[in-house]
Amino acid sequence: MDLEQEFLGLFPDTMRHGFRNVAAKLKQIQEIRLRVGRPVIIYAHGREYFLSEDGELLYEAGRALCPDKFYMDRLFAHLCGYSVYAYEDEIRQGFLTVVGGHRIGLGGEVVCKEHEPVSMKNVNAMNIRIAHQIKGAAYGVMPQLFEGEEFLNTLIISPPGSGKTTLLRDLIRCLSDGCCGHSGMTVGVVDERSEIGGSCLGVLQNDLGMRTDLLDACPKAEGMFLLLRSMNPRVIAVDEIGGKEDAEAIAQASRCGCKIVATVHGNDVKQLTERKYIGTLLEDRLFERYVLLQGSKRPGVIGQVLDKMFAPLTSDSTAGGVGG
Amino acid sequence: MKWIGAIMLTLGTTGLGLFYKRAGYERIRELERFIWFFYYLESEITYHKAELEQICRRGGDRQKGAAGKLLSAVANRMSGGEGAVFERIWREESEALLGKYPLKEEDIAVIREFAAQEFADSRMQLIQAAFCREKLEEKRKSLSEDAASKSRMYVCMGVMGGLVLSIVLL
Repeated sequence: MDLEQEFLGLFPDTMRHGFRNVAAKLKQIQEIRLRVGRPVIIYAHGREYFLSEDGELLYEAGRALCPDKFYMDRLFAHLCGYSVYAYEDEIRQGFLTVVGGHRIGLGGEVVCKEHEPVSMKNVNAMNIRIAHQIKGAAYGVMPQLFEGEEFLNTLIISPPGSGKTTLLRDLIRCLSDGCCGHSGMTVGVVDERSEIGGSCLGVLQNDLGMRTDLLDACPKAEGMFLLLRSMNPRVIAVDEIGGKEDAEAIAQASRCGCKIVATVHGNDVKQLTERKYIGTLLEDRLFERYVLLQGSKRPGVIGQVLDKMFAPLTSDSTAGGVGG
Repeated sequence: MKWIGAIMLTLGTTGLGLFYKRAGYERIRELERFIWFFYYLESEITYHKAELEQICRRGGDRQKGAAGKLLSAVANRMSGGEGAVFERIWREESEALLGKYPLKEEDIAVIREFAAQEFADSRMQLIQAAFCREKLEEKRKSLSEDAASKSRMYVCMGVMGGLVLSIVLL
């Protein structure tokens, strides 16, 4: 099944007509936002478009398609394969990962039990983030992340929607399969929100390389310890680190001789040093390379690569790509 | 010639009796297959949290008869990407396939009822599956209890009916 058909398969037959045009331009599209009673908004090329009922992309919201509650309920049930129970754990965290690795962020009424979210009802907003695996996105940066044959601890820094996960995914693939003159190595991936592998009901939707072991839907800190104990990885990859547990697990993994490649939300290194737990890792010079992306206006484009002393190695090398 | 005709008639009506006897047992067997499916569904939801399409696919591969055919057909349509809602697929396939098997309209109605509602959590989905299973189990139980006596009755009526007709016609 090609990408277009796969994408259209996300929608019930009655809604497909409106999304045919979107499917044809899927490679350029980053997000589709649906809200009850509000126009459907499509983000592509760093700007927003509105979707008409006929599937036309509009600059104005006037003729845009506005989904009603029934439309959203029907779409939600279809995205879950009419098996909402199968996605309970993901829904509790506010997202779904569907075939193709696309991430569906959910907004609605959160059902809590003893102050803990247990489910979500009356889903009134969806953010369909189109997964883009761009093979080759990491080629431009790979040579700078090695010292001889040794991979260096790397932190990818950028604001949301700038292509961090796309770059990380391709880095994992390159490290695992071997590329740019470096031989492949065992990579352990902790994919807390199924964004890296795009795992849908246990089936990986993205190519992460032949030597990659993946722990899906596993908390990052616990996952890193699990990998260390059981899978003996040379490199551990994690997405969107931030908390105390993450920082401690990364420090621990690094002390065990594992190399780390991670991503973090941020604009620059200075901003990160001010953050409580991540700042400590930076102060300890745990990371030896920092890859800064340019931002959501130019997703996937590498701004700078810094060394462990935050001195620039290079600037404005283009890795290409679109994604989150 | 008359005697040959009488024997043929008796054999024919006996055959009819045996056919009804077999149909009764076949209906019980078909119900048992659906009962197995609902148990399987409950287990898959509880332990694997598998999607309905996967459950139908595996169930269809493992089961014969009406249940096997229906489950495979539903799984094929769900994975085929046509985008129809599950309720519609289940209903259409039930209507198209189950009539060909020795199931009564009341059995088919229970099976069709399974997809009539969508549930947001595993608990309600399990309750719905258990509800359909219990209804089918009740039917199977009452049919099994009567099966022996009904089979005897069908065969006896076949033989006796043939004999009576032969005597009358002779």
